[in-house]
Amino acid sequence: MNELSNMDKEYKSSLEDNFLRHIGFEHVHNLCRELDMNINGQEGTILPESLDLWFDAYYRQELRKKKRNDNRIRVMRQLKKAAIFILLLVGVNYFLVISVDAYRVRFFNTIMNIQERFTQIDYVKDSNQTTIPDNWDGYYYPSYIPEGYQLDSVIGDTRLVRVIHYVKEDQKIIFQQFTGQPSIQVDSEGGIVERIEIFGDQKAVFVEKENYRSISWTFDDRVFFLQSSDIDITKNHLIKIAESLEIKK
Amino acid sequence: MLSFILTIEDVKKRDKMEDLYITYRKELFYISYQILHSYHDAEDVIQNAFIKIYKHLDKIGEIKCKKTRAYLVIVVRNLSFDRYNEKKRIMPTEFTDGLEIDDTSLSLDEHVLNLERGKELAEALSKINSGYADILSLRYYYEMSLTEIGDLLNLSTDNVCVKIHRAKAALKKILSEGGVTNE
Repeated sequence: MNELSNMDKEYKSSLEDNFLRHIGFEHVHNLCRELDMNINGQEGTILPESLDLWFDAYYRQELRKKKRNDNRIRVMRQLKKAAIFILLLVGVNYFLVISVDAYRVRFFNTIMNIQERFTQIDYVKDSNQTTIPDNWDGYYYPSYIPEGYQLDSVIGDTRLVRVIHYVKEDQKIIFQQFTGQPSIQVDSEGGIVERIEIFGDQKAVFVEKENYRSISWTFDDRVFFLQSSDIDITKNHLIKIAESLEIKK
Repeated sequence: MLSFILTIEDVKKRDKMEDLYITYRKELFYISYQILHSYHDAEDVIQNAFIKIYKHLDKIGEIKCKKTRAYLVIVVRNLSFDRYNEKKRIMPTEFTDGLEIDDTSLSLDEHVLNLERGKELAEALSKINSGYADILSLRYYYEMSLTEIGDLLNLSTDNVCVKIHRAKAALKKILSEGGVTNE
């Protein structure tokens, strides 16, 4: 009984909707008839030019908006595809790493190789200091450098040894200072060893070998070592560099 | 290939909007001007109407047909009345036609349903309030949702719902009083 009543309600509702649709249909026709009757009144109507201009601008803007939106949707669709591809790749890779020995070895070797390369990059970055860093306060550095040479790198974070490299094309000057009551050994085998003076009275050792010249001396409880492989850098150049030392404050 | 088809679709849609504007701009402007008696306001209403129509462009099939023409007229007419009321500071229509809206079932089984009377019933309803006939047309003939109608005519969904109930109540009153001779 209840089921029949529900069907009855549905039928009545459907009948009512159709009736209202028919009323709508008739209203539309009545409306158009009225408009046709008054069509002569429209003839004197002057349409503002600004309306056409507005429509042109508005519609162009809407088309641009739609184009942008379409592009965004296309990009999102591509991104989804890319995400699915990456997910599949990771899944297959995971499966192969778990199940195939040869693949697992090759995979981890590749990872290690990449890590080493990154480590190497980090190292180069740290050693390529182009200015005397702040943590050099209390350490000496040469204020004079022969023409054409530029500071290449500053090495050393500990209190024991600090090194500065200056370069000119493929030539190099190395300045080192050692603290903490150090003693250093200079390779003078087969070379000329000469005792010289710097700052007028300071004793220093000059060593000249076929491929480099160096000066080493002590000052302020430290040992300094200056060396160059450039044949244009003479003993006097090295003395001048040594005498130009300044302490960083 | 797909992008080519999409381009064709875009061109079709563009042509549709431009065709609508070119075909009906003058008539719609005239209707709005007849209500507002102001070029500036009528222009404003037409702009607003086309912005709304563009959002519901899928509701429009053929350009040059009575259904499309009446649809545009209903939108422009209602927006113009809305603007008119706004300017005259008339509160939005809280219809108080003495109509009961508790039961808006038309009880068609109590009346002999003659489809030929549809035209007269629509006329009678339009005479009581053209908004009633408009809103029933949008809902049942154009098959628009309450939200779509609200968006098109600047009404809240609740307000659309109330108006449809009022329209049905008015129609019921016309039917119960014997039809077209009653207002």
